[in-house]
Amino acid sequence: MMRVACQGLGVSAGDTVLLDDVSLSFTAPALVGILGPNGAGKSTLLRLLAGYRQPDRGVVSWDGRPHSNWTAAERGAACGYCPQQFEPAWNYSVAEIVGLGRDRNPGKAAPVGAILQENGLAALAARRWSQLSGGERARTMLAATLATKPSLVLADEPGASLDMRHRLALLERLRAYAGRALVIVVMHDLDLALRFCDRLVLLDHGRVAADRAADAMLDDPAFAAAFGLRLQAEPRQADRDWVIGLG
Amino acid sequence: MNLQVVLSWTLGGIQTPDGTGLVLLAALVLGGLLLSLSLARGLDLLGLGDEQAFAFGLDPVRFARRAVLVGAAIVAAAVAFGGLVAFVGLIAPHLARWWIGPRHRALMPASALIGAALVAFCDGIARAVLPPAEIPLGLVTALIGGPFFLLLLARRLRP
Repeated sequence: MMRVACQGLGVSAGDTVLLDDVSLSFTAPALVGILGPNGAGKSTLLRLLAGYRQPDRGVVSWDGRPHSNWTAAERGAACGYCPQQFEPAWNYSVAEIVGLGRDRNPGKAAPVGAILQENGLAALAARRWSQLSGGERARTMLAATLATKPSLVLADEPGASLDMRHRLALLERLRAYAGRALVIVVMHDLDLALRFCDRLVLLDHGRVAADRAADAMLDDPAFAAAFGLRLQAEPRQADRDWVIGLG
Repeated sequence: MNLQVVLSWTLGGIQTPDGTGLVLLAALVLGGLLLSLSLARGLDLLGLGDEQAFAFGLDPVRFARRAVLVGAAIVAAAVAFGGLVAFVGLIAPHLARWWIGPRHRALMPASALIGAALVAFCDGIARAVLPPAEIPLGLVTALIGGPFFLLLLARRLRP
């Protein structure tokens, strides 16, 4: 079972402190949401957890092994990391992108055709990146990320470009996947985070402002304070998918 | 070495090689092609951008260093034989990418073939226009490559 831990993480860019003394530990299976206002350090934290960026202070370890002991290929095989920005230099097709993601651990992955089928992308296999809608792009990247069935998934706002229905479907998919893996997701939809995640970590100004079970987060005064908002919570009726606040 | 030889090298050209030269050239081309193909997956991944390439198991900085070294070695070998034949390295990969797409396993052999065909074609022109004189090969490729370069630039600058 995957375990991710970081101890005393600190990152600065010039004189701006991006992360300050962040210590967290996550164990599979779990769906963890990383929340926080813009500039709180969410993407930076995810990059550090993925090993793409090195901290100025502190260490990150996967399964008790510090990041410096993992090769890039081992990391790619163990983890599905889905960065926020993706703009390929060449106009790859859906099948090519999924294939490149799959080949980081071909032993554990199904053939590309089966992966496309499973993700509802079979009809788009030959379509090129420039011809895809935002939602199709997000589905392609999710398929490529999960193709190798990684025991750790780190995703930075995977639903940002999706409409409500697809955002719900994405969270349901990640929820199901987190039954046997550790899934850590940076997200901005507070309602979806409260509804789907097991645990929520709230970042504010590069520090952990709260770290709670999802159903206890709303009662933490730090939650509303971090966003500078006064919030109202309404229960959702069982036969409705989403609550839209009016007025 | 006389001035004539140096001058013709700087303008590029194909001389008829002797037997040993041909064997050496064949070995270099084959070795270069195999080395290039060993980089195919990494180059495909780099095309996704550094962060996504990392996500798919590549160390982009280390790989880029290796790719540049291999590329420099192959280019050095080619230039040592053919001299400075301008623009072929710009035209061939671009044509190949338009023709067969961005996957490097097919793209690199295809650009090698297109490059070879282009050089042979230009060499034919270089020998044919002013017989019995032969105009420098590099001059002919530049005549084709110059406008091609401007075309690429125009496409890129277009909003």
